[in-house]
Amino acid sequence: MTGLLEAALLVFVLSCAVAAAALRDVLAAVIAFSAYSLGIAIIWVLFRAPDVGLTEAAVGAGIMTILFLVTIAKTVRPSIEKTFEGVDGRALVVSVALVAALSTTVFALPAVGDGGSAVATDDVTNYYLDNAYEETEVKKRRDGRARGLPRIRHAGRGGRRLRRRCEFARRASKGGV
Amino acid sequence: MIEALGDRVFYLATFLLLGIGTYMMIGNDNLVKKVIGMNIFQTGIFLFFIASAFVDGASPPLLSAAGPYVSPLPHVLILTAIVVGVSLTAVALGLIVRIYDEYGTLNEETIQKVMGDE
Repeated sequence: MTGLLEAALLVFVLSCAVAAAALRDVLAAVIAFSAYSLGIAIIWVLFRAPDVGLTEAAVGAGIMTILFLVTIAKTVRPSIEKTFEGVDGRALVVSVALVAALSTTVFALPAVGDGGSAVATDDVTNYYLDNAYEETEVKKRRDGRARGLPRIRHAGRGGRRLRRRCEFARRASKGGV
Repeated sequence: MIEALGDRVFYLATFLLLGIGTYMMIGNDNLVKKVIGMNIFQTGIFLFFIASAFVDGASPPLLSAAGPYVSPLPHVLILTAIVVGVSLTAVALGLIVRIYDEYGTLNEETIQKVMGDE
């Protein structure tokens, strides 16, 4: 699933992370980090995880940025002579070694989007998909319609078709189909 | 091999983010930037989990969407981890404010020098 959009987002996210590391000004690093969080939130949506994307956008880009800004306001924003940090050799050696060690595992991992991977076919995953709706005991409306399904006001030909589809979706969600 | 790498580019991005986070935690002197590095490290691991949950052509695990679905299990874990991460950041930043009150600086080397003098 690596199209142009995904590649552009990855480049954006990685360059924001590098900018947060390299910029000497703390405020600039915080801004780079919140841009990074926003980019990551869009990646979650592309990975079909809209709930995680919402949380990341609200919490990562919103609350986290406010926390950092309040901290800078309460402490100090050191004056800077240079725009960029110098390179710390010791830290560079450690992090390059870490990336190199982790990268040796990359071909042992299943491809992203592989439907037969261990995560996608796992028993727990399927248990969640089959039973989460009933076990969370989500309340239904009095008319028996599950929440979240569209409400039909006009019962014309299109309405009937839509109603049939809703009926099907409801039965499918109960595990009846 | 290039093709196989293209399928796994998100895992590679995960490892790079872990590297950047580690570098920031060790290499940057400012304590606030260390916390930012910790957050980048965390998000790298989140990327690993969410990428492992993805299935090509599947829809999000929503009641109104038709199957097949991507695995919701890593999503649940990461949703919790994001909230834990915020709490961790808040505690760390609270400690940083206290450290600044005590030492008057956020520079790691200066703090260590002051602690050595005492």
